[in-house]
Amino acid sequence: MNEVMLEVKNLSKSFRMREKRVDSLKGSIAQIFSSKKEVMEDFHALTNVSFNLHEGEALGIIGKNGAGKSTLLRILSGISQPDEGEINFYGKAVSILDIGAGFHPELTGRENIYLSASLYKFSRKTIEERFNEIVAFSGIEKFIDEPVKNYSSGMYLRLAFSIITCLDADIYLIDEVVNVGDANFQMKCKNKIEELIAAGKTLLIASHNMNEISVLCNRIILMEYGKVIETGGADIIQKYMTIALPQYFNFTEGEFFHIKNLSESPFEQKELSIVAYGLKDYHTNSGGVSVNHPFVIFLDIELTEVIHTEIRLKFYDATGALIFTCSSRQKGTMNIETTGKYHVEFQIPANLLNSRFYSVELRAVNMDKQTLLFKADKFIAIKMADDYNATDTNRELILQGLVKPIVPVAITK
Amino acid sequence: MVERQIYKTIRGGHQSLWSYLKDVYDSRGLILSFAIRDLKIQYAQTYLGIFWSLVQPLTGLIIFNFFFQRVIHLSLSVPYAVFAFTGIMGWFYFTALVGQAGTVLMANQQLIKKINFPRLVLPLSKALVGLVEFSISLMLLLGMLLFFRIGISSKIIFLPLVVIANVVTGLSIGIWLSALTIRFRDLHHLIPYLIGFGIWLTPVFYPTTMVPDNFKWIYYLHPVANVIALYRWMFIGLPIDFMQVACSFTMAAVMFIGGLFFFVRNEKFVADYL
Repeated sequence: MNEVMLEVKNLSKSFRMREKRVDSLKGSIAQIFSSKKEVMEDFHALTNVSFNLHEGEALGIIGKNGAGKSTLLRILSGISQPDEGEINFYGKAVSILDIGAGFHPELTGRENIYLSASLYKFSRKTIEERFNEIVAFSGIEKFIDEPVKNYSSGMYLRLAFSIITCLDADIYLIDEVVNVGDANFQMKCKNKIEELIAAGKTLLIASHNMNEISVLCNRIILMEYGKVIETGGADIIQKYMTIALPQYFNFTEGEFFHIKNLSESPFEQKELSIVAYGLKDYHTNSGGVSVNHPFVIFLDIELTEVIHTEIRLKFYDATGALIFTCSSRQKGTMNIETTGKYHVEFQIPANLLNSRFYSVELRAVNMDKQTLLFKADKFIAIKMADDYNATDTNRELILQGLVKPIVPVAITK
Repeated sequence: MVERQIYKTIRGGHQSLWSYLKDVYDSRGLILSFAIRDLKIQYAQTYLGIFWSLVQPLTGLIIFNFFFQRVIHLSLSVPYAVFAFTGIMGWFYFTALVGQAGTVLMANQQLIKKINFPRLVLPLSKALVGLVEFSISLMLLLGMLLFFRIGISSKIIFLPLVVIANVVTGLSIGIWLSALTIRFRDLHHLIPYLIGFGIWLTPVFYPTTMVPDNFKWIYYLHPVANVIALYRWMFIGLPIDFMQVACSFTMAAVMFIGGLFFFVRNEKFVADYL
């Protein structure tokens, strides 16, 4: 194990929440004369948070809004103070809680560079040495002497980010910054972070972007109600999804899929009613529905009018990324058009999905009018697992990627 | 394992004033950056630029010049305009510090929530902005002294000390207000009225000779009145009561140091309250 760069020991922080927060003189004065004892409630933003960050490590912090991620980063940055606990830094730390935080719209790009530089405690020498580099990286040489209020938001972000890339430290504390801007800019941010990792810098990243966290970080901390509830590899992300979307992904012991009650759907089933639906012919292992075997999603539907209908299933991963769509209208399949009952089976092939949570959306479309007959979000949520390492949490083996087809490999020598 | 050197430690509890002031000193570049930023923003895209800072004192001067010369017929050893302007100069620097320093943390909350730096830098940068505006007024005063053939006394060598007294007096209230407005937003609305009221308690437009004797004890407790008295003593040779100066400045210094302690104690909670 590499040497410790950052030590967080028993960190706690609470905010006083009054029944009615006194924010005014009137309130305060009234309180002095009031005989009623004030009702105070402590909101524990952080409770006993401890972890270590080692050299060269990229640690991700995930958790729902209000889990304490931002409070933690604020305390690590010195913006806010802990009530209890201690933090030791074994190297120079810099925190990037926001990009362009020090920018003022009336100042020119050049002036803002200098202002930000002094906010981040650059020496005069550093900034003068790096000035041209910053401007070149941002690619706004022509507009450097224009007030930034005249910049497009992309230019603004590029300039702000360029300044940050020039920060030189051993430990980087990053909050959600990489999720702004256009694709190109996000890519730049991500590349920069990867560059830092490659250079052996130590990183702490708080983010809601699970894909990014799973790709960038080699260790993840899951926070909930101000506490660290679990530390581990990318499998923690699955755990997070059970907390973030408990109605779909909180599987009890031995339960591997949820099927939503469609009668509660806001869509009226007029021309088309869904009689029965579910999963069948599936295999399970200790971790979930087996990815190594095919399984079937079936629907029994009844058409009461003549409508040319298409049934679609959309597969999403737990974070909401669309994996693929399958349709009932394929070459050689029967048309769903005349009135009557139909049995529709979608045969999901083996070795397609990965050991992850997936949700399936159901849509029925009137093909002639291109209108929606029925729609149900997450009508099925499934927990998939690989037979060979159903409970193995080694991320290298199971979790990289949204799908896991078997790709034939030929090796010659 | 070998004990490694700790670069920095964060812990609950309070920072000592001394180590805090060292941090502020290390951030002196930032004080300058903020001051330059504020000056640029305030006067960007205006034709008069920094000279706008003269407009407010000058309009005051014109109104009171009319009132005290035509209506009240004041007799002074120097032209009324010069007399009044020495007062206006000190008073406006004082109010700039009270008013601006009092609201500066609120005005920069986005920054405070995102970047760590000693927050005292913000009111101090306002003192610097005020100093620039004060210097413009000073030029005008020097011009007036020459124009009215009053001349410039050698007592001007005390100017830096008096300006420091002016700043400390302003910050002694400004620092308190800046830390308090975070908790009590009412003060934000109250400050302009306090300033507007304060000018009548301060001999800005009228000489202390007009004040009845049984009210003069007020000046023992009124640092700004004494700052103005010192300007008048330096520039137009009016008499001064050094007992009053010493007494009121001691009070201001105590307030100032108390304000620093209060500010440092609250500094780390500013971001929580914003």
